[in-house]
Amino acid sequence: MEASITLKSIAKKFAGKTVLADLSFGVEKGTRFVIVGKNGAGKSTLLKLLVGLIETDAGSAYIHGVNIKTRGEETRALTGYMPQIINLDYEINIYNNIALYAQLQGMDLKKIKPRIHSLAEDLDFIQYLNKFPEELSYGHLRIACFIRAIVHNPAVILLDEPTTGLDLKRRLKIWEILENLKDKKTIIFTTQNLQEGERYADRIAILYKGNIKMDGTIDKLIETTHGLNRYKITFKDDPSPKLIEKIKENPKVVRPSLRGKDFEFYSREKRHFFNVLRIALNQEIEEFDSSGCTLSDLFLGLTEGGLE
Amino acid sequence: MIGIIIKREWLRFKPSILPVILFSILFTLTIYIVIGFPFYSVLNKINDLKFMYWVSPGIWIFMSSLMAYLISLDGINSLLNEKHQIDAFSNSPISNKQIILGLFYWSIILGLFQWIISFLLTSLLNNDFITTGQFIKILIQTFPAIIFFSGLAILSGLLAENKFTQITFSGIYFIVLAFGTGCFIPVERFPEEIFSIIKLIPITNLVLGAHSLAIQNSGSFTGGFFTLVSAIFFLLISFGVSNKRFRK
Repeated sequence: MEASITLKSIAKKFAGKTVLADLSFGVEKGTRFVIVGKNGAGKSTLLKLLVGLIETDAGSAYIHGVNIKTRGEETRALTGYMPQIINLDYEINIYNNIALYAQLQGMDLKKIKPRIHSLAEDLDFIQYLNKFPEELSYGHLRIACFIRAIVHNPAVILLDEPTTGLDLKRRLKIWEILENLKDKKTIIFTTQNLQEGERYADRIAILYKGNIKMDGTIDKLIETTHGLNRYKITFKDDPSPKLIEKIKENPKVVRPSLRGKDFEFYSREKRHFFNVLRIALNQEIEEFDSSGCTLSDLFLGLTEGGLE
Repeated sequence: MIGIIIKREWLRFKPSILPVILFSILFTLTIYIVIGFPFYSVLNKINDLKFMYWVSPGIWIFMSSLMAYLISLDGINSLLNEKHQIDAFSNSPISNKQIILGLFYWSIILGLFQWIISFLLTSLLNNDFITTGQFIKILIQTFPAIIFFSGLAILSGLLAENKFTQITFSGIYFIVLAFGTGCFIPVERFPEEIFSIIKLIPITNLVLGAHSLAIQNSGSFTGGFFTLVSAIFFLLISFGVSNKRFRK
């Protein structure tokens, strides 16, 4: 497949602190690519860099084969960006905020109004178009930023935590709109909501300390755990520290943790779970549960260590 | 692209039309009353011309420059405020240069508007209208001052992030313009050593030229030319600095 975005050894520092370090990856056209990572991992910086809001210290980035540094005006015409913050003009109403941006993106004046109205109707937002930003709630302002990002029908859509602060109905609507753009547009989004990432992206990248620690489809990422399962035992009363120590002594018990009466750990084979259960039965157990690894488990394992 | 920035400025400006017109009229009248009259009682006539006639071109220059400066500074501050509105422009295909030029042109338009208002007010109050030829010549002579202060405001807004620093420098610029370049008091009456230095400043030359155009219908355009060159210099520096402020 043709490359939509290519990053080669990108580095960026802010006040001496490395935010992105030797970052390289590519995204094919028509892919929905999610970047997950802890706060400060560099997710927003990466998107800002792609839309030309910040410049790289080293390396090069290309959108549809065009270098963003040397031909930034061309690449910015290919992208639509929704920031995490609200950067609307507070002295202009929502409609004009979006319309001005559409004009900057070279949209035909005649097409701007119907396009804004159609998107606003889809998002149940039509009644807010003539309002000023200060009259609207945070969620409504996020919707306005979303409409502004896609109003000009860009080839590459970059969304920084697009559903943060939105109610469930609008959150689903946004995903529905993005679902309809599937295969036609390259969509890169960041999220803290790993379930959304898992559900709506074709490809997932885990960004950690300015670099991609893991990248692939969800199945491929889960595969890397080599059949690791998550187990949870809920005790009736607080388990004794001695009992927990004894369980932790088992080398096949991965990443054990105790939260109140819940004891969680990972293990590859069921027999190790049964070994743990045998020890745990020294105290009264209320419940136990097992499940396959999810993106959340993988994410926590990668960013906080312990799943290797 | 520049037109879209001007359109944005117009949309921001629309709700403030009345306050701006009020400012435009009241400020001119205030200067005429609190500066013109007291100085008139002291200086009475300059070059056989009643002081109130003599000071009028100074008021046009001062007021139009002030308006251009304030509009320009407000424009740049509105983009670089804590809401990061500049980001919405910076992630579109518009260049930094186009953003700056859009703000620059808009402030010049309002500077000219202020020039006309001030001209009409002082002419009505003095009951003395200059000829069309004089009007055009003075306008051409004073136009670079509007451009100069518009450019200066953009550069100040880009360089000084702190509002208090901006206010301090704005105060200094306009006190110097009012009393140090001959807008409101004749610099020819300053001690010779001071006059010989300040007449080398382009804007002083421009103001002197405007006064002499109003009095004798003739004057040098050298000051205007060098003021224009300074304004272009400010713009060029602004283009360079903008990359640091618009895209980090």
